[in-house]
Amino acid sequence: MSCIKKITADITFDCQDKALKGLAGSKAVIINFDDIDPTATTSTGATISELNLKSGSTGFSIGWYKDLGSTAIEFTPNSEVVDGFAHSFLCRLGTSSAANAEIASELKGGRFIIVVETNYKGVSNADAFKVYGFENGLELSEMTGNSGENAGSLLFTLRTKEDTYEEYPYAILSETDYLTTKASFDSLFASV
Amino acid sequence: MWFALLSFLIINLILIVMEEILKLPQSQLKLHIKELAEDYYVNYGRRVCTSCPSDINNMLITLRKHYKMTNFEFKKLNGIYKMKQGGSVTISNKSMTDEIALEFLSINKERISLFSKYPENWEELLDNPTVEPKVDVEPIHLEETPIIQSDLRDELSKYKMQELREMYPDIKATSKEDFITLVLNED
Repeated sequence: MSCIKKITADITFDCQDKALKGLAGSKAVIINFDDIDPTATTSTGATISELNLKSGSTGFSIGWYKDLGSTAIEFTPNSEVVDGFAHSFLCRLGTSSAANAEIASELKGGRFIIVVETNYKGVSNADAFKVYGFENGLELSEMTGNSGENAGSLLFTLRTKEDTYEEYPYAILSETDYLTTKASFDSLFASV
Repeated sequence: MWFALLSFLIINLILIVMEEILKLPQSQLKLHIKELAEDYYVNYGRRVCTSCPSDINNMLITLRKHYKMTNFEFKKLNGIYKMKQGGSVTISNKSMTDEIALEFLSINKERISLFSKYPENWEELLDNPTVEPKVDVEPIHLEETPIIQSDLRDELSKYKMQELREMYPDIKATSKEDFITLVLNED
């Protein structure tokens, strides 16, 4: 019964640390799950202190307009496996170009993690960067396109695969301080 | 003669001021965007969209080349790399100087594969930065002012369609070639 946990701290609300919605910079970094170097990546609980990719690997930036990219989580109680959280990343491929058709094909066959910077950054900006799919990755669960809707864009969702789960609703990426983490994010975690 | 001497002094003063501005860190550089945009207009005849990040990046990269501030350039025009693992310092074409490039290469020589332009004697420069760089890869033609259209076409071709649309929001075209032609015609 060791899986049953207890609350160990107060759940508080601080007026100086108000909630804020949205993702910052209209940009995320998408990383191939297999490119993560597990021997050089460290985490404690819900905090990742080092996110390193295998030598020669890099993440890729994924951009969007206004608030057209977003993340979501939900609790997924399950009678057959351990309960956990399902992560989602919703975004769109802006145009029906040949390049985006290639990307769509790559998305359907891959497993990824997504790193975003949220508008909410927490005390000392320590909670600015969130990682989704850190434990089991995210896979394409939905992609739709309609020439008469959404300006012809392809809308897609990357989601935790069915019957897998993430222990935490999101992981916080905090490599020493905000500037160090931001540098990793801006450089797409490229290992060069 | 006095007029020629005065002109020479003014040109050199502008050169020094612009180089000093371009060496400033990002936070201070932001305060001089208008001066840089004006200088870019004088040299290249095109107005920069000062509220468009990608257009500003393009301007900074071009001006650094113009003032011969660096002999290095990354293959990825807008790529950013961390100087070293665990650090907070990054390097990009926007912030590139010879000194920064050599510091980046001194950590791992294999990083040279990330560059599209670099001095022929870059390894010698790592040991002795005071040596004159030997540049034989696509020399920059400073004299071509304003920039000739074929150069500008090549430069614009490096951008994705989405980036071009951000840089030139008033221009509408379905293909990149048509888009660039309209940009050149507009200038």
